[in-house]
Amino acid sequence: MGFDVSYFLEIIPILLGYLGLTMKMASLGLVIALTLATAMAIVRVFKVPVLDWIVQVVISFFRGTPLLVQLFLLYYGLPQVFPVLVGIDAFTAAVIGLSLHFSAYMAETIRAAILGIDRSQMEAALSIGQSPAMAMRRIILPQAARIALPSLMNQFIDMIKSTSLAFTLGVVELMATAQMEASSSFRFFESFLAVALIYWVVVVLFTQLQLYLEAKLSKAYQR
Amino acid sequence: MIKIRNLTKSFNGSAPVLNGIDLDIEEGEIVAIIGPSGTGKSTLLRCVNLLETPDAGSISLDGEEVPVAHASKEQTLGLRRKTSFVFQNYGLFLHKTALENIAEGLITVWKQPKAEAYKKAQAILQDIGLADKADSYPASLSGGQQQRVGIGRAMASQSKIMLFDEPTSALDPEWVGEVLQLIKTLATRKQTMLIVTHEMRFAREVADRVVFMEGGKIVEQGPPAQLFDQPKDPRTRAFLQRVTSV
Repeated sequence: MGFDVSYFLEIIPILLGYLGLTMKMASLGLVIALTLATAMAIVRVFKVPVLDWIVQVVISFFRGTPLLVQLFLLYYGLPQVFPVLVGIDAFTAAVIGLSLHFSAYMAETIRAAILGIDRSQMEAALSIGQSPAMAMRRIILPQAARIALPSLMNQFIDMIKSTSLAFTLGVVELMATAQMEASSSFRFFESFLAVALIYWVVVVLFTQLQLYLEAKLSKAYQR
Repeated sequence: MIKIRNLTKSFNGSAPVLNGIDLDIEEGEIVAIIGPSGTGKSTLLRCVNLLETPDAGSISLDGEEVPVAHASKEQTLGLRRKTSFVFQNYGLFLHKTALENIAEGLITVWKQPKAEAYKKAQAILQDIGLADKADSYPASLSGGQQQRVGIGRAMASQSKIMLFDEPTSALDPEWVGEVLQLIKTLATRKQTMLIVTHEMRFAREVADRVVFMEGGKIVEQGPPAQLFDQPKDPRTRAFLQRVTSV
């Protein structure tokens, strides 16, 4: 059959039309995951009674089971037990599943980063009269962000790629489109190579963004 | 102005680090605390603005008595806002410039408009001789400059009393002078200060009163001339002999 260059060039713009949806899923997922992760990290750092225990179980579960299993549980399983969830659409389910899954990893990253900040920073903040919550927001988290950034970016990149699993819930995104194009044209190699290249380019762009952010955040630490 | 009563603290049930400290400091008074290492000097200072929670005792500042072993959140915040702290290791906010370090409290705690806060911070930088370092981050400042910014940050809150926790002991010898000089300048302005220090000459020169602590207790106190030249207690004498015999 050989490599059909013109088909390959033809399918790329078609696939790019769905990149928006993929990125919408990933960016919504990132915002929710980061919010959840920060909250969970703070609960763990301050060892909030009861909540700390719950958070530990949640993190253990979402790190300890495959994302695909979690998505199936959420989309196909839970509505059978909780009828309120029956109407949930596949896109929402995918965003929730991705958020929960990656928030577990991000929470541990952020917790470690917070613990990596010297105790003197919190004490200095308290000494000028800031409340612990204000000190967290103004002094600790901004410094922790710099330490956490490389790991968080890795996890976000993983999340971008993992949006392809939403295809198994019936979300028509990048991967789903590639799969459908492939099965109607029988040009599997061209279709999947095209989709692989698109993911790759997106990830490379975000890696560049990471380098830029790292340089920006470390400005304060150069002698 | 500040009355410390029966301040007691032990860590994890071991022997008390502070064993019923009573100490009064008048407005404008400069009190230096000296004594052997591990004798509770720093702990006393850290208890005054509740960086450590004492086991018992009370602190009155400006007539408001706070039962420090179980102070409410408001009382804790209130006490911290009336005191300021200069740390041994400077404790500057590493992600903020010298100017931002000084302005941080003015903006977030004292709710001043940013422009006004930065103006005041710039004036303080001028005062401490670092006007040209406004945009420098702590990592690019010398130890002496960092500690001066630390003192500038403490000055910004215009607190009733400034607490100094061995402000020069982390410094290379070459930077000690400029920091002591700045504290002396503050002393001439009648800023109330409680200073834990190992610099005996400095304590003699700047303090109105010197307190000698050992074993979690105040052993002896008095004007510098009296305490250094005619110590009454044998423990004070022994200590002074050790530190001045070099």
